[in-house]
Amino acid sequence: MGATEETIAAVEEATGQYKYGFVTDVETEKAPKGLNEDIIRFISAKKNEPEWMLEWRLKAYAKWLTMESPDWAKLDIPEIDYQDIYYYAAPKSAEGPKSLDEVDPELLATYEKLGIPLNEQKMLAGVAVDAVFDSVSVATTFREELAKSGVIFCPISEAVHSHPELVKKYIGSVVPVADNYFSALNSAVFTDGSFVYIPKGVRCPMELSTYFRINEKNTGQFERTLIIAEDASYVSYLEGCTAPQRDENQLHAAVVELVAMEDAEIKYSTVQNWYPGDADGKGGIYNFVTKRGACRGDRSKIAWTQVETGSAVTWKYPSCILQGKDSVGEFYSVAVTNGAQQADTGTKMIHLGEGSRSTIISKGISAGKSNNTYRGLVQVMPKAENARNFTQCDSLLVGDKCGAHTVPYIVSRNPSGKIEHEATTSRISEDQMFYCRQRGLDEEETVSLIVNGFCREVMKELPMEFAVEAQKLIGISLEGSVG
Amino acid sequence: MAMRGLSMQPNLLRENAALCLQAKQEFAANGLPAAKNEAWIYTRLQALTLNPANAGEEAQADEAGVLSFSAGWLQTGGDNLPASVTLTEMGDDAILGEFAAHLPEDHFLGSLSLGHATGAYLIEIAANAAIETPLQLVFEGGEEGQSSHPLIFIKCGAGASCQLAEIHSGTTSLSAPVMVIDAGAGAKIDHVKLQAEDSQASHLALTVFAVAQTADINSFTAAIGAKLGRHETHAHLNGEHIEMALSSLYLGRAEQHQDITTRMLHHMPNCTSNQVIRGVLDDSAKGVFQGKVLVARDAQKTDGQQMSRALLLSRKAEADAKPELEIYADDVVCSHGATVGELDETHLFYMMSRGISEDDAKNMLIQAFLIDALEQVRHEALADILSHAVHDWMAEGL
Amino acid sequence: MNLLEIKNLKAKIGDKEILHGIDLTINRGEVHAIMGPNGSGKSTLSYVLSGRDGYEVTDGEILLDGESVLDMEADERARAGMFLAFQYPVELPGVGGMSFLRAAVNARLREKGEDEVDQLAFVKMVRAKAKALGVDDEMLKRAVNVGFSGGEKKRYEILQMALLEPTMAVLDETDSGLDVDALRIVSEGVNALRGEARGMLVITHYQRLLSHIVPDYVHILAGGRIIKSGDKDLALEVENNGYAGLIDAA
Repeated sequence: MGATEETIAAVEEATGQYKYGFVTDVETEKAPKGLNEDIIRFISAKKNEPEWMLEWRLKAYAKWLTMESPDWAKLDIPEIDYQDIYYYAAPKSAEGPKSLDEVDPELLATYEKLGIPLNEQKMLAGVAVDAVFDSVSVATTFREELAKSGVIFCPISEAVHSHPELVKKYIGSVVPVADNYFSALNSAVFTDGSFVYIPKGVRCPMELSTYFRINEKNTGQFERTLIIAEDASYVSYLEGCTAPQRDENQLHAAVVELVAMEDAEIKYSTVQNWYPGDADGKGGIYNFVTKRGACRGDRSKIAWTQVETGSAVTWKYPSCILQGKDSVGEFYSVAVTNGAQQADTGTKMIHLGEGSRSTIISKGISAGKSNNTYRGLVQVMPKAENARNFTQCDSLLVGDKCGAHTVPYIVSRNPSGKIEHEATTSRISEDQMFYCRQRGLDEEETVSLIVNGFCREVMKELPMEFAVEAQKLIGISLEGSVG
Repeated sequence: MAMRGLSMQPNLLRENAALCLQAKQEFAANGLPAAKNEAWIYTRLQALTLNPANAGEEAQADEAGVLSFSAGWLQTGGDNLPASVTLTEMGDDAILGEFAAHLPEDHFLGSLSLGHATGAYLIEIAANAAIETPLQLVFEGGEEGQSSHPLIFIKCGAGASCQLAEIHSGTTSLSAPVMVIDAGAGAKIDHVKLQAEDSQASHLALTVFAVAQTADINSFTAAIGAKLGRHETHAHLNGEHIEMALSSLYLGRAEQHQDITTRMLHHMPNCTSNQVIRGVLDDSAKGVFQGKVLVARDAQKTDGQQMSRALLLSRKAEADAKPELEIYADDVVCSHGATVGELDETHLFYMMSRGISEDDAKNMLIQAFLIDALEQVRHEALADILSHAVHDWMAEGL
Repeated sequence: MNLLEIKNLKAKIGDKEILHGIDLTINRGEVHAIMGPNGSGKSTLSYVLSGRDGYEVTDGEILLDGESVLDMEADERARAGMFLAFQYPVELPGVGGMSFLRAAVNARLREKGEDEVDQLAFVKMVRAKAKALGVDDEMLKRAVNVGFSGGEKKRYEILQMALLEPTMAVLDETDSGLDVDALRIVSEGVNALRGEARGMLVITHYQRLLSHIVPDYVHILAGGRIIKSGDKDLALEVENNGYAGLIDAA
């Protein structure tokens, strides 16, 4: 309660459609445009990486060269010129590890403006932040605090040095380099991202979050996140993303890998608000992301929650490999598309372990001229005795120029498995509209209220600190969709 | 009425008609559907037997309303058809063009059989005719090593009503019928298809419904036979206020592979479509259901429903499903559901606690599961054809 | 000034004219009842007054506090003080009751140029008013009207009226679907809101509601026209003789 009113207030306040569209003027060091072995060596050298990491990158690059861009999703994307992108861009001031007092004030101001103050006193209590600006992590807060309980939370570029054995062991172990075109690309050129390690039996004392910001023009962001939760540990992690308003498209191709051991639980939430482009589809981020979690241990649990409102094109399927006995995978998604946005998103639940269970709740809202597709796979393998899946996909259409699509794939190879899938498509009924308006709410308030009601099942899965933010975002994203 | 223009040794369409030659080229150029082809992800085709049969001997006319085909060729003269039904052989002519125009473009099954056509026939039902006796198209005969590719064009005139039964039980290695059913405004068609091919055969069928306004179509397919079966149906709802039911059941044993693929295409407003799909899979059988409901921008007030359920009876059986909604209109009520599972333990236990043996209990539950689907068939005589076949299938398993 | 003035109101749905010229004036403090058989245009009148899309006014005028509302959207009319208690309240899945009520109350307050009410004060206020209407906390926590019984929905409508404090309240068949006890609770709720501040228009098919909410004036609507007006005794006449006699006489 209360959040809805704030949504409404936010809708009224916001004058522009996208309020994170500003550019920060910082001096930047960039690698030359384009992609080749030299660029990869450059990135690796910039990060002062050990030889094994460079080799891993080069192998990935060689693999990528042999692969083809996927074309099966329900997306219409102009051909991307991979030689016309900067693969490395870093604020000059951000070189070398920094304590918070040493961070460029310009960058601190940027995050402040984005609503993410990095100053620990000002921050939301109990949330540690890793701030990634273009290709580098500029600050990570509360590290000492976390270290006290043995939790490692640092940029992955740093973990390569400080915890090479962990990185070596787990990187690429959930999302193999050659998994898909973009994972291979990311493996070759990834620049930064977060590394999280929760030791055995530790319940991470605060929410961890990474805030991704693309600032530079013509720059791709290729972050890599790795989260390892040892036996009986727990962590809740949230990522947020924004980018300036630009006329050309920018590429974001991330890889996120999660590993949950016995009785461990990882809750991974995303509020994705990359610049979506203008109403005619000019500009915006191409968000091609591979996210996958492995429930390796018995009774382990991974829950993905995502609120996707940004990006010109979204292509992501946060997935769970349910290996452990009685392991649990959950996927809660709200995807809002407006203007000319395209989203093709969903999940994969691969049931390998006995008694593994998965739940998928997807809410798609299409407005404007946008297209919104749920695409998901539920696969029960022969050994997954008594596996259970329940999937609910609901689509809501706002206006008559958009499209809502549902494409579930079901593969069942064990008779004791039970899979249930339901999907509906509807719109805000004229009765609902009139009822709310008779109570004095205007058209946009009504839409926002009903859409937030439609998403409620998913929103309640978000950490409380972010639920309010996410509700506001949905309201803002739908602005201009009615009337 | 006697069939006009029937010659038992005609110039083979596949060797003469430009459309067929073109389709054959297309087929040769594209080859079998690639692993990446979304429409074929669950059904991989290996080498196909492509040896189209030639016309056989003419046989005696059958009982009223029955047309017997052997290896893709009509064997009887059609003297036994009601007066308002006309049977014509399609030659290299405009009507063949019209038939081909109904087929989806660049479609594997379309070019396969157009390019290797055996017999090609047009069956016309006069406008406003009310046909009381079901028309039965009985496809059988043929030899191993042969393939059959009948092209059947059924034009049901405006306001006419008829019942069609399609029964496939051939022994040809590949049976690949392509059928177009063109339903005029207000036509009422009850259609059932029974696929009970020989256990070594492959059955790759394409059926296209082109439906005009206010027509009322009730179609049901039972896929029981063949080693590999693919039954693909495209229904184009081209007018308003159409009622379309397109349901099916598939049964699999041993190594059988049954694939039911449907595309329900709502092009116009105010139509209702409903699909009920049931599958039962035993041994190492695999069952596939892919069903898309598309609602075009203008197709407001569409009511599109689809529900598929698969029952796995064995550890090695597999069920794959891909129900799909593609919706561009906002004032619609569309939903689909899909479930896969085994027989309900509590139901079994309840029955057994009443003294019913486990086998009997299972059979009763499977039967109940299938009857639920068969109830979609509203025409009694047609329903009987299918329920007998299902009953026989059940009996074989005991 | 009159609170509500309806002059020669004609309205149609699609091509069909339903209201053929209605004249009715309601002052503050008055409760008017409109009675009529099915299909007489009662619900149409309630929708036309509240500004539902699809109901087109072809002639005449509706003035609220002297201002025409014809060019106002439904929400603008609501904020101007018009309230409709629905015959069939609408379900809003997932929309929490408290959020909804507070959004509506604040929209009205903003219109009046008053301060919005904060969450804590609001919860207190709702609880107090809800209790009197037998709306329990459990109901307030649920999504709007979702899973409510017929009686619960009607009580929830009256609760909203109590919170929004409209100047002109239209109650459309508020008695339908209510048993005797529920009817009593709802009527008490309505009676508590009677007063100099507002006018009410009670639309009903049956007299039984009017023995609980006793009107100052009764009008008979038939065939899209008011065919007879009188005091509360007119309702009893309908109860005893039915509509047929009145319609024939008109």
